[in-house]
Amino acid sequence: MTSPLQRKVASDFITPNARNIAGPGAQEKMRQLMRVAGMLPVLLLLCVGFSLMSDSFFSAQNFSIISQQASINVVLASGLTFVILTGGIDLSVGSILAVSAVVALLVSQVPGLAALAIPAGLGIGLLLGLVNGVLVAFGKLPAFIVTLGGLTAMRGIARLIGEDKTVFNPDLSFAYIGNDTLFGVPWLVVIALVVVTLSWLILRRTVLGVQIYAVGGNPEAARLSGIKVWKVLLFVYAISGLLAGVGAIMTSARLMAANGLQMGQSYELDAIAAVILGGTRFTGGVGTIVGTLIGALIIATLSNGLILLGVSDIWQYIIKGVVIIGAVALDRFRQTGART
Amino acid sequence: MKKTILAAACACLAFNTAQAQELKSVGITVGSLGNPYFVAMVNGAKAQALQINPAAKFTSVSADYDLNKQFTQIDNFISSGVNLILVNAVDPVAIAPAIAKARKAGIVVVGVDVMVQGANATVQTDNVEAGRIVCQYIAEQLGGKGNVIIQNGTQTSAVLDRVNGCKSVFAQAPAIKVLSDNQDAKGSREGGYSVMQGDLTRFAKVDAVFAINDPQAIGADLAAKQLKRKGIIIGSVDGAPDIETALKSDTQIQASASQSPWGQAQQAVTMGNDLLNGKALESTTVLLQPSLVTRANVSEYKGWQADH
Repeated sequence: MTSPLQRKVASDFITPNARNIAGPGAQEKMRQLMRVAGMLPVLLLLCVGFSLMSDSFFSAQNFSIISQQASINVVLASGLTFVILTGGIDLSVGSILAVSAVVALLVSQVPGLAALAIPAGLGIGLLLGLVNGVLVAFGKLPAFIVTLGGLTAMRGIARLIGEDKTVFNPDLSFAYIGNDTLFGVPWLVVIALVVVTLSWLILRRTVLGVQIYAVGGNPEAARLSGIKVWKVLLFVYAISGLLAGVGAIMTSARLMAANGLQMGQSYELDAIAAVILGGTRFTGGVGTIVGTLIGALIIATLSNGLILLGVSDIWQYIIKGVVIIGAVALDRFRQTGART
Repeated sequence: MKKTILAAACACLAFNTAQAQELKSVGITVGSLGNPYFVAMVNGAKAQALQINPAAKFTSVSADYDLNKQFTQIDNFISSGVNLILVNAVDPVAIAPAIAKARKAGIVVVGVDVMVQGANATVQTDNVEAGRIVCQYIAEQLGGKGNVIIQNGTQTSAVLDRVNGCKSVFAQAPAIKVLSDNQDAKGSREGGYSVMQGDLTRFAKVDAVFAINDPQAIGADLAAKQLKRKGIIIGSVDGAPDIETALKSDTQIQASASQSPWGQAQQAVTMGNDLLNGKALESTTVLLQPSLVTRANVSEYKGWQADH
């Protein structure tokens, strides 16, 4: 039985990531573009299709609605992109969102501490993300299992902190995030765009970003080339938790309430779907934030278009599920690297 | 001889215990503890149970509108040996086998808030009337014409009744058009919010919305506010403290049919206790009348009687 190291050595020299570290060749750039562009035509097709089928689709107000509805998923999916790029997964983002939202709401209710509500929510998200990170990086436990356990355990914590009731705050200090606009652009969209930009900067313009791709492409080689894999893993899970916290602030700002049990239910599924639709490979090492953005927009456009056409809730579920399966199938289709 | 006396004594004892049970342990399962309505209901039941017997054990659980979960909860109540179960049934018919099992074990089962098949007694608000009075108000405010949306919810009997009550009113006004009545907002604020967003995206002109409960109405109002849509009359059922606040402040909510979850629960526990003590009930189904709370009379509204 060849050791994993021996098996991978050959392909090591030709993984796209290794080439990226040296400087992307034109052919590789084209392939990357194809991967990302692979989904943009789909988005445009959906837009054209829905515009033809419904009068109210192609309007500024509707696009504003789509972007607002996509914004929370974009934020969560960005965090997940980091994680999936390292070959891991974070199933607990929805539950982390719930805990953060409940904490933020509870803190905002305490007179005098209202300004600390946002940092509290973000802090708790970061903390829970680190818990996941520690278990994956040091415990060497499979990310799937760790975050699956986190999914239920953290949901339980959210219910515990909120005493299983809905926490309301009609005078929420950060309600403006859910309602108002900044120079005409809704705050939700602004936050989502800022998150995407920062994530892109980290992934594309920093050494850490290169390390993330390296760990995803080949953890053994990454470790042997001096990259501290545990640091990278800790970072990505922490980021995922932090961005779940950001998502929590956005969600609770819209509703001015938080419920430990109901909030963020199945948000992780939409986030994962957005990441995969965007072209990020499930096994890690390949993917872009822009792709994730397009993926999230596809999901939001799909949901919005179906509602406009009056399609019943039931069919929306079915169609969304089929689209996700189709996307994963496409992902396997696109795998050009060495297959074990 | 001794044996017969012993047997007779045992029989007397058994007969006595079957006659009058002390309210030692009460279990209540409600649709969702995320809805303050059910929180108030649980508190009301607990207060009454402790008043009857300060040493009574009281367990409350949330079924989260999941039939399977509620089945399991009732099973757990049976095995933990409760005397009385209060059920806010997720499904009025499908839960019947669990109710039958409980009754066979000698437990008294009282339905609260919604109809449930096979219970010893039921206490609920007249939900048809509730739907009727709110939609009547809406129809009057609209002057008999306009586009309305009936925002539906989890299909419990209470919700079905309210929708039917509402539909009966709108059916009588030919110039009122019901744009949609089949979207399930799951009885929660988030659900009401999402469904309203969808409806406002779909329909350019919406004049009124009837939401089947207060959390949904608040969610719908938030959605309308964020999409900057005005001129919508929103009505609902429950009369919750949140809706009182909404009626006094700058929202588009105009009316709510009040219920008394506290009162219902207290009545249910009292009736259950009576049944445990062998007392016959005047009537096994008690319908409480809702009253309409609007912006005009909200200052006089006493609200849910206590703790929420």
